[in-house]
Amino acid sequence: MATIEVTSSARPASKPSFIKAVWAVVQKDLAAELRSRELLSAMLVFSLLVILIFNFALELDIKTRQSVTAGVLWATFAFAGTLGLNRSMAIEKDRGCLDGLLLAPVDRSAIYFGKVFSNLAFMMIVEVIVLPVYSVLYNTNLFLPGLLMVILLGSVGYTAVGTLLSAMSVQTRTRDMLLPILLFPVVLPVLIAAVKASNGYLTGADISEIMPWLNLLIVYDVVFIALAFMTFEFVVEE
Amino acid sequence: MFFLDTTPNTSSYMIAGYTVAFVLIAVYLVSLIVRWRNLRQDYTVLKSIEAEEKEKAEAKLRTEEEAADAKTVKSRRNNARSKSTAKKKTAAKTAKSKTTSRKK
Amino acid sequence: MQKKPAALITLDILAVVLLGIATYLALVYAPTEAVMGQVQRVFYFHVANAWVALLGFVAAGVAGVVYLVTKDRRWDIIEVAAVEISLVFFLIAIILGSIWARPIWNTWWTWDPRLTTAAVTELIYIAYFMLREGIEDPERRARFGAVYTLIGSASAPITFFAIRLFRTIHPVVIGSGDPGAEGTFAMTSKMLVAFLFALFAFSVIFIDLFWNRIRMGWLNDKVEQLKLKVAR
Repeated sequence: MATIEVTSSARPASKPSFIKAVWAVVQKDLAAELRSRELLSAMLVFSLLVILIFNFALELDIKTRQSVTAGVLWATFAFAGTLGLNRSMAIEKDRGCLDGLLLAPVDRSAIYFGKVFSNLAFMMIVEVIVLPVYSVLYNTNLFLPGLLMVILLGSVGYTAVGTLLSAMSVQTRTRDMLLPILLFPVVLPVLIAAVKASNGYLTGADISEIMPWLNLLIVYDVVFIALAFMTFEFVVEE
Repeated sequence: MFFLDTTPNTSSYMIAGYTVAFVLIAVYLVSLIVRWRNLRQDYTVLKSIEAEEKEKAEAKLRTEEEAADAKTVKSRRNNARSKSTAKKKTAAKTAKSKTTSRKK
Repeated sequence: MQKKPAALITLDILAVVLLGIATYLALVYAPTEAVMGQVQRVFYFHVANAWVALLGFVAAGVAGVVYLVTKDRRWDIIEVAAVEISLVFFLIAIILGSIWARPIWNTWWTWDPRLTTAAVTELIYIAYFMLREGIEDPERRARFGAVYTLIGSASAPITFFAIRLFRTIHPVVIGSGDPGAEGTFAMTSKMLVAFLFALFAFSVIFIDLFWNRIRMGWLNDKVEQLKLKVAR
């Protein structure tokens, strides 16, 4: 765990160990996941099943399929994302890790950022696997740099708010069920903007059409990362 | 939307609209009143339970005090009795010791 | 529990009277709009209710922030009252909006940014109450409620802009096809009177309900404390 080190800078020990604390949380989550792989496998299988369902729910010809690819992808990510967020926090709570983390002499926001990074990592791993699968199934190339950027921006906004809300929902009686109810109405701007921007890149639209959506994503990400990390301590304090 | 010579008769919608508005306001008011009444009831019941418990606790305290008092009175009496018997005993002993050797 | 203050009783009566007058003005005094007919009268209450709901929305957001800063229970009580009232009035506004849209655009729902954002805000409110329901500890309930109110208050305006952007780039092909038109009509002076009076009347109704609901919140708090005390 983080030991108090004397650094070359004259700043108090808490500042440099902030990044160490964040990294420690991320490492812990990644290491745990590497061993058990329960989160990733669940999210992955779920995503593939969702795509399967969409395939039959929206019986499409090739032409219309193009217009809904963005929507199907983001719906998949949104649903799989809640799975990951739920489990990630539940594991913390059930194993008592959260209490352990809170006892450590680190800033609460370090725990927040650590969790966001690991949740983001899991979500992106799933996305990285879903994209080629979808590309193969529907014979469309999804590996466009613009699209990848949108997926990153959207996932950041989603996990920033999702981590905060999952920290709350895991402490309630209804737990898992509550997270989507809390999250979806609030994360709607991300979904709207991400779908629009993704669609723009997929259809090769002009950058001027896509810019407003990218701006919206960035604004949302900045505002909510700030709000979430400021309020996180109120959510985990005992 | 094409312009008609006569205004369309949309009054049924207007009536529906105002009815909905008033009904919903009324429903909310009723819910407020009902909840208020329930809370009042709960409050009075809980207050009386609280008062009961307080009384019980006080009564218990009183009986404990009385028992403690009775004990101390009793023990004082016993002490007094035992003191007097002790006095008598020691008096008898000293009386005895005067005639026989005393053990300590 | 103290008796209801005289000021509040007066306010109750005033609210009812104003509601009556506003109804009269909207239904009788204001002239019938030429293009839409009688249904246009719904507009007066629709906007007034939306306005009240918006007041509640802002009050809730502010109360949430103040609670997190001060940890004073009264701000939690204010927050719950604000959310509840806003929930009711947004519901009325949404339904009235829908009823207004039906004869004019031949559809029950327009994905109009204001209406849709109101609906999303309703969902946030419902989520808020479900969150509070799931927490036993009153202090934690207040804290979480405040955090969610903050997140929700920040998110709703952004949702509004997102949908507006959505609509300007892709105008929805229903009804008039004009995303800007929300039943635009020119208001005569009589209509303006009815409109402004409705706004005023509902503002008073808002304050009246708010005050009453806050009083009830305090009573609820007391009852809860007693329950915890007695149930030992």
